[in-house]
Amino acid sequence: MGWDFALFCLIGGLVYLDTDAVGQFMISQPLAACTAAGAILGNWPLGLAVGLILQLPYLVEIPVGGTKVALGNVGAYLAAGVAVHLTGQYDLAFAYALLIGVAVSWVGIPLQDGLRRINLHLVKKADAAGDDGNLQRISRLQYSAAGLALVFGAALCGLFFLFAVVLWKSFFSTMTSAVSFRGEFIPPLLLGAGAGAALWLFVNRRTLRFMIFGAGLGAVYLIFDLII
Amino acid sequence: MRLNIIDFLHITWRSLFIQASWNRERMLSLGFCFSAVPRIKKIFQTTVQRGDYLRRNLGFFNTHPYFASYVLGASLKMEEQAQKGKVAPAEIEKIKTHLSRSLGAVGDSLMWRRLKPLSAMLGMILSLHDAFTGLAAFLIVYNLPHIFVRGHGLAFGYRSGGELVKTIPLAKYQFAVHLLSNAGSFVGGFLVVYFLISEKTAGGLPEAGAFICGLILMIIFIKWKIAAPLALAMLLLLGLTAGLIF
Repeated sequence: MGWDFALFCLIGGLVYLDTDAVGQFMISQPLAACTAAGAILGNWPLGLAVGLILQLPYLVEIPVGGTKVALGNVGAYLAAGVAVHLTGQYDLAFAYALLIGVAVSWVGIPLQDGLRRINLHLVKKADAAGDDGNLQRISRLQYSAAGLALVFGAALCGLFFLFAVVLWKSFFSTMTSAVSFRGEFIPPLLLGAGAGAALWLFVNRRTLRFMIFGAGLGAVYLIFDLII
Repeated sequence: MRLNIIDFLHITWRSLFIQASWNRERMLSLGFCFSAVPRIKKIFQTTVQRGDYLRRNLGFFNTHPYFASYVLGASLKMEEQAQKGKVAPAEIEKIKTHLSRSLGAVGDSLMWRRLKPLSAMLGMILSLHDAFTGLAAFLIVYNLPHIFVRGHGLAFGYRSGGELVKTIPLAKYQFAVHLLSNAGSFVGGFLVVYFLISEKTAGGLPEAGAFICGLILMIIFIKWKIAAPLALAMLLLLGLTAGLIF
C-alpha cells in the first residue's frame, strides 16, 4: 500500500472536487467513483458493485440553496476502497466497509461546513482585492478555494481509509471466523432502498402510468430473456 | 468589442469553478466575479473601474451553477452597455437578482431532481450488462445537456443582455422537466422490476424479499424526512442482523 494509496487519496480529492466545487461532470457519482476506487486497489468489479448499491439512495438529498447534504459520493468512494482492501466477497468486512462509507458521508457534513467557513474568509479577502480593483488576486483566491477543496477531499479519504483499516484489523477481523454471517441480504436491501429513492423522486399521480408501463416492459424483457 | 471565441472558452472554463468558494453568506459571488475576469479586463481599463465592478458584484449571488452562465452572459453585455451609458448599474443588479431566482429553480429541478437520477438509473441498468457501456452512457446522457446549458447560457445571455428576462427559454426548460419526469418514472418502473426479478433469479426469494423490504423502508424513511445516511445505516444494521440470524 504505497502509490496505490496515494492515488486513492488523490482521486478521492477529485471526487470531492467534482461533487460540488469544480465542474460537476458526475465522475464523482458512486457508479464512476467506486469503480475507479476498485480499479486503483485491484478489484474494479467489487468497486462497481458498491457503486451500484450506493448510487441511488443519496440522490434524494437535493443540494438546493444552502441545504446541508451528506457527502454521499465521498462516502461511497471510501466504502468501495475499504471493501476492496479488506475483502473480496459479500461478507462481514463488506458490510463494515459500507457502514464506514455511510458514516463518513454523515460525518463529512460538519467538516464540509468548516471548509465553507474558510471560503467565507477568502471572500472577505476578496473584498480587499475589490477595493484595489485587483483581478489577479480574485483569480488566486478562487483557485485557492478549489485547491483547498482538493486537499480536503484527499485528506478525508486518506484519513478515514486508514482509520477504517486499523479499526477493522484491531477489533473486528477476529469476528469473521467467530461468527457465521450471511452477507447476501445487504446488496438487495440497499438496491431496494435505491429503487425506493428513485420512485420517490419520479412517481406521482401524473406519472404513475409511465411507471406501470416501464415495469410492464421490464417484466416482458426479463421473461423474454429467460425464455431465450 | 464582441465576445470572441477565446473569451467565450476562457469564461466557460472559469465558470466550471464557480462553486469553488461557495459559502453560506455570499454563496456564488466570488465565483461569479472570477468567471467574468477575462471579459472584465477588456471592459474596464482602470483599477478604479474594476474595483467598482467588484464591489457591486461581491455581494450575495446564488443560482444553479450551470444556469449561472445565462446571468453571467447577460450581465457582461449589460456592463458593456453601462460603460456606454445605455444602462444604469442598478439595472444590472436588478436583472441579476431576478434571473438568478428563476434560473435557480429551473436548474435545480431539471439537473438535480430529474436528469441526474434518470441518467444514473440508465447507467445502472446498462452496467449490469456491460460495466463500461453503463458508465459511458451515464456520463454522456448527463453531460451533453450539462455542457449545452453552460455554453448556450453564456452565448445566449450575452446576445440578449438586459432582454434576457423576456427571451430566456424557461418554458422550454420547464417542458424538459416535464418530459424527464415521465421518462424517469418509466425507467424507475423498469429498474424496479428488472432488479427484483434479477435478485429472485440470482439469489432466490429471500433476496427478492430483502429488495422489496429495502424499497418500502426507504420510502417510509424519506416520508419521515430521515436523512439518507441515517436511513442507509438503519438498513445496513437490519441486513447485518438478518445475516447473523439466518
